[in-house]
Amino acid sequence: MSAGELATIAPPGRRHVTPTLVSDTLAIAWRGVVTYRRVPQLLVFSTIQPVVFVLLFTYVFGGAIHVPGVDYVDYLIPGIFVQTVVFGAIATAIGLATDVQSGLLERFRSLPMARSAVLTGRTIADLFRNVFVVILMAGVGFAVGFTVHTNAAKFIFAMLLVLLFGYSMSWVFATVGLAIGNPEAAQAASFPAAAISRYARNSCATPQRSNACSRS
Amino acid sequence: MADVAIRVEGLTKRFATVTALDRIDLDVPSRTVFGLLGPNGAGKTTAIRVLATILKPDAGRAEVLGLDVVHEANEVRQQIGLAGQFATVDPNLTGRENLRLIGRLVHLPRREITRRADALLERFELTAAADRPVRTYSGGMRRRVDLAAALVNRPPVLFLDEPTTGLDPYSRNEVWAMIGELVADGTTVVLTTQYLEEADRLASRVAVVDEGHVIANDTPAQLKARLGSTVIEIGLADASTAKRAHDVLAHAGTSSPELEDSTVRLTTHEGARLLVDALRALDGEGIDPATLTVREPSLDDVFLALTGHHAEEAAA
Repeated sequence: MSAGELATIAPPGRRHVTPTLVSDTLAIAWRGVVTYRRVPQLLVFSTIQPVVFVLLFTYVFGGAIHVPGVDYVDYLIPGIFVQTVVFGAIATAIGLATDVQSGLLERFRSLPMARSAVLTGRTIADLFRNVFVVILMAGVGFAVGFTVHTNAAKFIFAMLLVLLFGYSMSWVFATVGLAIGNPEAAQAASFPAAAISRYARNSCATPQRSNACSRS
Repeated sequence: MADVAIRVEGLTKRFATVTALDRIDLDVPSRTVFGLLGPNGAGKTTAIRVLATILKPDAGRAEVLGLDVVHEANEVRQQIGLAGQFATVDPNLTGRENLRLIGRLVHLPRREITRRADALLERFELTAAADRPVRTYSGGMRRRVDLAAALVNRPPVLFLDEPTTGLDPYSRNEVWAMIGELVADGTTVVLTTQYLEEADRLASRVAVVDEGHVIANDTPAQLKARLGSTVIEIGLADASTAKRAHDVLAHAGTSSPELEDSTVRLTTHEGARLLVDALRALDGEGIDPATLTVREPSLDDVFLALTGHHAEEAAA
């Protein structure tokens, strides 16, 4: 059929389409941030766990663990930062799997938007959440006696590095969430990966000593 | 026929071992409602997903308003709206936020987004609930906000996948009325349904889909004319009595009866007269019916007439 035949139906103009990745990403990220505000449980539960860890290891197990040359709190807190953003990244997997299952992704795919914005927007929303969580954890850390031995600039740089690491983990778990497409299964599938990255490290205790985190 | 809004030629889509669409041909006239009627698994949803550029076909082609759904997918997306069982909204956002999100994603100017979101909320009677998360909505409200989300970009072509499945009769009538208004405003609507009644009520043309094939493509009136407008089912005590009843009715020659287990089914255009004749004939032979049902033909009857097998079997 010729385009002329249909000219009467199609509305004039707006045929030119340039998917705008930046504005679409911002729209999807806005949606993610609103979700965290609307369902605060998502934030609360992902922050309670690291807070409990800090308190548990500082006040309960900490007395039994000795790390040569360093105050135990100063040894523990950086590990907790990393652990927090890794576990936070599971939310990326769950969020995307939920969108696949609910059919929201189907709707997005029928819209004249940049398709990659579904991922860039989601990961940026999760980055925002990580900023909040990292600031909170720094507060908790300082409250239990964490001290920075270098200077403020290096500390902030370290925090940015943690956020960058969390952001990259979000992409890893985004792949998991999309591939699985079921929120419960995505959570279950994410856990081993996250657990390995947590327990295979020696942030709770030195390997020579009791492997306290792993047994907890 | 007037202009063609959607043209489908030889469209084929396979999933692993299943051929969901097998060389489908369709023409959808613009500014009408076109119904895709069939049981679960017939390929209706796959057809909609291909037309809405979500799936790529394996063979054949489809055009929406002259735009190819594969090569001009993004242009097609500017012209369509999609709602139904599989395309939904974010339950954690409010109704208003969902519409605004869609508005941003279709790149409307900010002021226009506000204007259209307000107008749609009012039109779909959601203004009072506009600032509540969608997860608190009832089924009918949720379906309305889905439909509203599909209309944010004022699409000339609207795809609705089972728009009334699971709705109570009141909400269903509301959705039907809205579809009627949209077509009156010049929208072309393609909807899938499992209900003959819905296709009959809304669509000016219906394609009956079975196992990836279009087995009929006609107006609802013609479909029903082929079938008869009334179905009479006479249940009998057992299969042998039913066989006798069947023979009696076949002999009486009023309509061609169909025998299934202990039920005899008559399909006719003259329900009242045939019913009297049939009962008189049975009574004359001393056969007492155990049950008697007089109803409108269902999708299953259409299937039986067109394919010789039940809709449920096709879905398996």
